Amino acid sequence: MRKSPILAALLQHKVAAGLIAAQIALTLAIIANALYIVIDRTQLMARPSGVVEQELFVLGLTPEGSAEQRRAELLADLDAVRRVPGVVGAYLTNSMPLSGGGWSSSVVLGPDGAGGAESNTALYMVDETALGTLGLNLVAGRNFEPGEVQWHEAEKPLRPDVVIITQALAERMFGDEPAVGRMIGISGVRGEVGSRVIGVVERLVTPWTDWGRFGKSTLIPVRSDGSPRIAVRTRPDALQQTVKAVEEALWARNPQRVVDGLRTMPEMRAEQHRGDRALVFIMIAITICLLAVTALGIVGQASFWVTQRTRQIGVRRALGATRGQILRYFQAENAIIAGFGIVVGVTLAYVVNYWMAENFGADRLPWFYLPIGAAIVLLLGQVAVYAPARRAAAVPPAIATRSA
Amino acid sequence: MFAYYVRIALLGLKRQPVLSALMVLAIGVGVATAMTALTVLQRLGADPIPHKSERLFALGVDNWNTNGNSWGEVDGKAVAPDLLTHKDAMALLAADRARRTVIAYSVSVAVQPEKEGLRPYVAAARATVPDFFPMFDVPFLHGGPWSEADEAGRARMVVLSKATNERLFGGENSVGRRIRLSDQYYTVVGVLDAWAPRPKYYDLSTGAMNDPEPLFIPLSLAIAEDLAVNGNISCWESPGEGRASFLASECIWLNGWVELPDDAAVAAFRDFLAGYVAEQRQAGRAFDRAHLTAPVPLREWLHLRRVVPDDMRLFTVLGFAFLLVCLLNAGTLLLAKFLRRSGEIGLRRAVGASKRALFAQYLTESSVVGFFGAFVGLLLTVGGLAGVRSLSPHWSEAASLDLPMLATCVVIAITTSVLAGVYPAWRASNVAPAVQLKTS
Repeated sequence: MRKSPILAALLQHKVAAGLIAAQIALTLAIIANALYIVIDRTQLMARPSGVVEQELFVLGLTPEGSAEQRRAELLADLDAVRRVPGVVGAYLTNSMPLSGGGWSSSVVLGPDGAGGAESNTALYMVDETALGTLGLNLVAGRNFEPGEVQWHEAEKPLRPDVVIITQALAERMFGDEPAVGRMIGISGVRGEVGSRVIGVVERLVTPWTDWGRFGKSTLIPVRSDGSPRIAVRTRPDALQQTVKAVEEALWARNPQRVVDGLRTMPEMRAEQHRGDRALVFIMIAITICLLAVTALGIVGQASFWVTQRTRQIGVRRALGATRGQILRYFQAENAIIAGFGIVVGVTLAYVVNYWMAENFGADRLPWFYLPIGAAIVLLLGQVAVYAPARRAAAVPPAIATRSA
Repeated sequence: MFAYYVRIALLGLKRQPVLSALMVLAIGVGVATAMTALTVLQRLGADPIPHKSERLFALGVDNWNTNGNSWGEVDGKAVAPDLLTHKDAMALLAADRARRTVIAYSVSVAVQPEKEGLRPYVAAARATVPDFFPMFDVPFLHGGPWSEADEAGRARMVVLSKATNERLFGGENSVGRRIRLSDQYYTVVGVLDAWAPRPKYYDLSTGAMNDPEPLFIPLSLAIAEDLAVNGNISCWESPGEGRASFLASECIWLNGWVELPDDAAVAAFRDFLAGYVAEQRQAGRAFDRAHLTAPVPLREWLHLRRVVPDDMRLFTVLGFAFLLVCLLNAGTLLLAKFLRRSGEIGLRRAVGASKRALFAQYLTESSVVGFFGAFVGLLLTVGGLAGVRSLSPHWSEAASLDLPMLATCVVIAITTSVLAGVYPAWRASNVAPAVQLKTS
């Protein structure tokens, strides 16, 4: 395959070839960035929460009266919920993973914490049944005991004696050293360290998906009577029926009550990632349309060239060129144009990404998206040019002898 | 002559119907993508209260000091927190140095309807001062705000949104009636007309694209009753124990605005705040970045709070890059299409058609393509906006087309295809007559 006649022919059509190359360059720049966004956001959406999402829902209660009345009311409600058929477990809490609302706090190390680091954590109020209800995997230490669960006195800082933390938080604070038995301080002023780590769970994410400390959560054996929630686990595949049954059971106890913010975990996950999903969808739509439009341009241009060169093709065929050689000529021509496009496109993709990173806080494009994008546009060009090239190859040698 | 060119153009399009349709479709898709993104971006970034935004200022008070660090950074510069402490809010409200000063926050209350068949539900109520309504031009259907005296006297009064009035009172004039909120009776003093500014600029911290609160109650009452805060409370040092120390703490949770009629008032208010900062520093509070304690113009505030999500800007940039590809595409196809007719052009040149006439004719032909492209683009934009709405209900208000955007859409589509057609038309008009006649 000699390249020089192809190049010579292309130089005769600088603008037309340039237009195609520019399209390919832009297409490459856009799809490399779009593809990266799609993959990045898809990974973001797929992050596991650590809980049995398909079996969980949460609802809010607004008990009235004195603290004693409210607490008695809440425990009675909890008891009623636990007895609803289809309910596997339930506990009083302040927040759920992926719910978008909850408590966060700084965590500081105890005096024995040399070499460790401070961090921030989400706080989940739980009781001894929560590990089972959420389906958490305890990888070290022990669960809470019923006697350790206490009511939170309003307006006093949270100072639980014992806590369970996630592996991500343990690694951040203690590195490779075992976390169980260590002292940490939560929600307090620096230096007030009064909580002992008694257990580590494998994974439990925070309520906020866009938070930098997504995996760093702390379970505290506390119940609160101020805007409390009940987290409920149902039998598998019985989520929707059980939601209704629990609501009815609560209204049966008090028809005047407010059952607020009832949401299932799948709903919460969908809501937290709605923006991400929208963006992924838009990027995929743009990519598909873009590939179609660019392919259209290539087909149109190549068809025109084939028509324009029918006589020359006939002459080449008459002089002994095979169909395969004609086919490959057009394929090679397209590959050369695409090659120029790719060189410009890679530069452009990098510049676009740099600019987006500077202006929109987008992440830097990992380098391997560029060869992937290049491969896609190269392949696209070959696919698009195939039909016109086939038509060129089918030109009979006899055409050279006819007057046009 | 123009009509003749258009006729020829239509004939030309008909000669290659598939190619023509694909060109029209490509321009349409490009226009639709760019327009969908631009419409949403423009709506999100729109001035929510254009006749007054010059006079409205958010209160920035920088009491923050996490280990000497600022509350946050935007575009690499430190910014004041988005909310105020109770003590600063009350001090600025009492000082009364602007035409209007408004302090507000959102609380949640249980609405307990007396009407048969209505379940109680939790709703957000905006706790604020009566000046809130005239400051933000909130329209009333019945009644009006509570009085300053009621505000000072912690009166149990409530203003209902139009929808809430319909839900609780079937849309009647409910002024003077009572409703039960979290076990207490409140008297209805006003009912609003439909009001849903986008973005919800008066409080971005509780969701810029959310609806306004359905209930409005006196600020003094909400604070005195310690109603549950429905929003963020952020502290950089421990508030200590008890309600009194919380109210005196450095925790931020209140939203503040001032209305300043002219530049002189703005300057005077700046001076007043500078004096306030000096006083607070003397009293031992942080206020390390004095320049951040200032009235922030509404438009700047919306920018600082990133009301237009970065994702949306990204979409717009890619949308226009896509349009550019479509433009190059149209150029490529038109060039091929016109040059395919070299023989015909050569003939016309030979029998006396001027270059100008041919240029005009081929430019008309590309404009006709653009016209159809604009039409298809419009239809696709409507579809695209519906798609955006279904993807994200938060953008539903933003994702609707108005007349100016419609016009922009048509202009962009036709400009695109005329631009794409200039070079091909020039090339076509430069076909040499003799050569073409010889070869064909």
